[in-house]
Amino acid sequence: MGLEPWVPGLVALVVLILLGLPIAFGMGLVGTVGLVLLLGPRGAMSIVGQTLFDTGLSYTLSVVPLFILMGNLVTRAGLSDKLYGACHAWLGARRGGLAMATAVACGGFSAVCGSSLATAATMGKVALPSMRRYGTSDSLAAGVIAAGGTLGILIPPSVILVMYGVTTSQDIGALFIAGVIPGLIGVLGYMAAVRVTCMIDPDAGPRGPQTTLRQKLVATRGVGGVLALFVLVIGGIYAGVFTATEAAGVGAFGAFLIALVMGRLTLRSFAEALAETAATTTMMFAVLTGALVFASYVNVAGLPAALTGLADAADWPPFGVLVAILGVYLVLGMVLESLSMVLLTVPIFAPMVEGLGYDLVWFGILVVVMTEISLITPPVGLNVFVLKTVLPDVSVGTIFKGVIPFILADVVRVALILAIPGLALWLPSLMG
Amino acid sequence: MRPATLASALLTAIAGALLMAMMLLTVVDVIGRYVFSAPVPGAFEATEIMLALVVFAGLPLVTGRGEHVQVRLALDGMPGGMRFVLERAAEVLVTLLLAGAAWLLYQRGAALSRYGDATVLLGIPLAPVAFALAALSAVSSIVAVARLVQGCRGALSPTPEIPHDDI
Amino acid sequence: QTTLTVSNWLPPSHPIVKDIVIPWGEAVKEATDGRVTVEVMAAPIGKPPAQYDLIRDGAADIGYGVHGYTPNRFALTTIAELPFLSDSSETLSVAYQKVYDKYLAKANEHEGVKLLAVWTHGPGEIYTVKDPVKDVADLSGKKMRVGGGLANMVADKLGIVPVSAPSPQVYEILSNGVADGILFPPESVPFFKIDTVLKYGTEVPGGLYNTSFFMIMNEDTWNGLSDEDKKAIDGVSGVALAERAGKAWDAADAAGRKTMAEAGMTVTAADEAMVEELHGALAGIEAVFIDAAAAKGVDGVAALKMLHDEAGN
Ligand code: NA
Ligand code: NA
Repeated sequence: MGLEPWVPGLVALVVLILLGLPIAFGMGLVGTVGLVLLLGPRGAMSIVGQTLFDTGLSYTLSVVPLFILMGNLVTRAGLSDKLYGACHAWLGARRGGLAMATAVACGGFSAVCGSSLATAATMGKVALPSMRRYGTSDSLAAGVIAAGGTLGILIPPSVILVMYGVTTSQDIGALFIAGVIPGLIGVLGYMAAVRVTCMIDPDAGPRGPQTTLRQKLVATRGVGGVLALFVLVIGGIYAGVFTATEAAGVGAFGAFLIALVMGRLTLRSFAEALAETAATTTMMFAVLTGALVFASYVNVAGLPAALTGLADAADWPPFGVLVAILGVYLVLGMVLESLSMVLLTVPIFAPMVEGLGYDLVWFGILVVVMTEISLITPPVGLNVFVLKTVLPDVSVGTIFKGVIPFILADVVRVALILAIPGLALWLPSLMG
Repeated sequence: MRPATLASALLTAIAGALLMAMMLLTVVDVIGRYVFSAPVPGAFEATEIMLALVVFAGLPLVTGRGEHVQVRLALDGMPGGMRFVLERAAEVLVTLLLAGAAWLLYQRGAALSRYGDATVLLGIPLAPVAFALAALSAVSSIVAVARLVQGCRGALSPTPEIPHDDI
Repeated sequence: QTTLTVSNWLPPSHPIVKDIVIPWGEAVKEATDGRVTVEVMAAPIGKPPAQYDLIRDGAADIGYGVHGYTPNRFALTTIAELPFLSDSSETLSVAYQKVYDKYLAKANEHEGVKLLAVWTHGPGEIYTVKDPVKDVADLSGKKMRVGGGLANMVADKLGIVPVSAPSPQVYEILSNGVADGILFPPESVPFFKIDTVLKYGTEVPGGLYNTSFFMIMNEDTWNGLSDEDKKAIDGVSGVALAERAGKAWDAADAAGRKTMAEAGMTVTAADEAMVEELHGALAGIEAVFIDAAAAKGVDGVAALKMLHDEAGN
């Protein structure tokens, strides 16, 4: 059996990324060189040129900057601090309580933020200082935020679920609602992971200060803004007032109004929120464009066909194929960026999974949970890198060590959703 | 103000204004639909073009600040000399790839202009969009050269692993 | 032994893939005694409007696409997008291919590629969510999703408020009221799973609009084939491929109508009064084609007459 032409490309990509070439450029370079070798310069340049031009020109992708802008404005409005404050008041005094409060606050912030990276970055800034102050170990503190941040793409709104819905022609509203219960299970799983970490190393998560009931209730009032935005965006989609794409614009505008009303928005801070959103958008689209060039290369090189052939040849039962597909996500997720991984794989796997008789909303939730895992697995775990910027003095290795218990919690969650599809499908079945 | 600072402020302003326009266009479209039963015609096409422009307007900024997503896992564990070489090598590749992107986008613009391609509903010509993206890529490549020169002089502050605070 | 790759941007279950491209590939293999095989790529290498350039530049050997996605490049293919042409995709596609060969080919609109065939889908009809459409007044002011091409002009003349959205989003915009309805061929209603959202259909004799498709091969790939293989491929392309495509669309439309009936949709034919109104409102729309033809030195009137004659109206 000869060497498949996509194998050297994958190897080259991993090497380049590890040697420090920015990921977008690594994927673009390997993809372009691979395409030139396979198709000749003219065909290759045609694909790369089209991809460069077409990737940004996408209405569906306009949710990306708008949901990011919403998250940035929510942070400017101080809602993230208030959310963490409430969780802190209720949970902080237990062993590992600050880390548990962080997991819950991440879940809450995910309800108004469509991106996992933004959730991790925001909660990193909000929760890290207080966790460090009360002596939570660096690896647990960073681990719980990196993992908790991944909920951003499962608890609606979610950029990734929008992508999935568009690629598979599934109802985006149903996908959003399907993510709610698995997202809540995620929060519980991460709390359990904190608990286990503290049992193994009792010094990892010391208790925070005690709070009175009154303090707890006062702190809880602060979550009203987050709740209002969640109702506007998810309620609006659920009730059919607007599309998910429009919800992003309306949600950003709602966050803008809340920040204005709360007196937290100056012209300067608004300009900063816009500038940050633009920079983030550029970075994400750079990665996306690189990923699409790379995807074209592995496509031309026959990787998807090889995968389908593998599944056919293995002659496994449908459930076995499904588990194998999730295994592929685990492996791909180690090296690929989340959005690109979804865009690369879903068009290949979804028809296969549908052919096996499975529900594509359910599969979508499984894919997103696998994507969450990809954000915290080495060597390319973007949420971990986000935490590294907030914690410049802590090594990436320490953070990766900290996320291990949370990855295990995620594996349990995947098994639960596999065993009980109703966890994802029950809520959407109640819709209209 | 230095020209570089001025250019950076200008690009930031353009990207920010486009983002705000995207947000407001959506809100006006939704209100128009419900209150006046008149959606903004072709809002979807305008949004697409604005998104592409936002992405590329941010490219010189992100490139100049060395904010592209990067894995520094192995780099950080290396002896200084080797790391210096690898970092400069990466900057050379980034410069070349951005220049290549500018050239390909210019070719695309030329082709679109030859065909007179335009958006389906509003008929917005696409060639100027491609030329704008090409120009912004070219500026990014120049910015990357400047970064490379700075890096060779050892004048760069260490790049963070993920660059921007608020990804 | 040559393998030709097909750039594919539709799911494998779509009639274009499973009933047109793949069977055509099998026909090519048979006609060339197995010397040429056709392989459909698993994932897209570019967006639908990019397909023509991708094939011309050799990113893949073969591709297909919609002329209306890049309207400024193809002025003459609007002939097949006109209203009231035919109830059958097969009839219209064969007629279109013949007219193309006789009148339109010389304008060389498919420059730089080998054109394998042109065809159309079935008649474009009117589907709505809330209220049935019984006359032109019912259409006026309705927010309808329109795909582009000449259908936009049709919508405009009928007072429809056009809503544009990528086709994967049609489910969403119809289910939450962004659009009141859609102009689609019957096949597409179940394909995009909107048979559960839509309640009413109004079928227009001959179709309210149509969509023109192309299938092309890279020129270098074509020139690299032996004369024997070229002849064999020509034998299963052109009119033969248009006929195959038309049959596939007709079958898909029939299946689509059946699914709509099972889903409980009420689909009726436009009555005579409405047909007359439509003809009145859309009178003169063929000038779009005839003027474009004149600009390219093609006898548009004769071409259109031949299309009508061949299509049997
Ligand atoms: Na979210
Ligand atoms: Na990973």
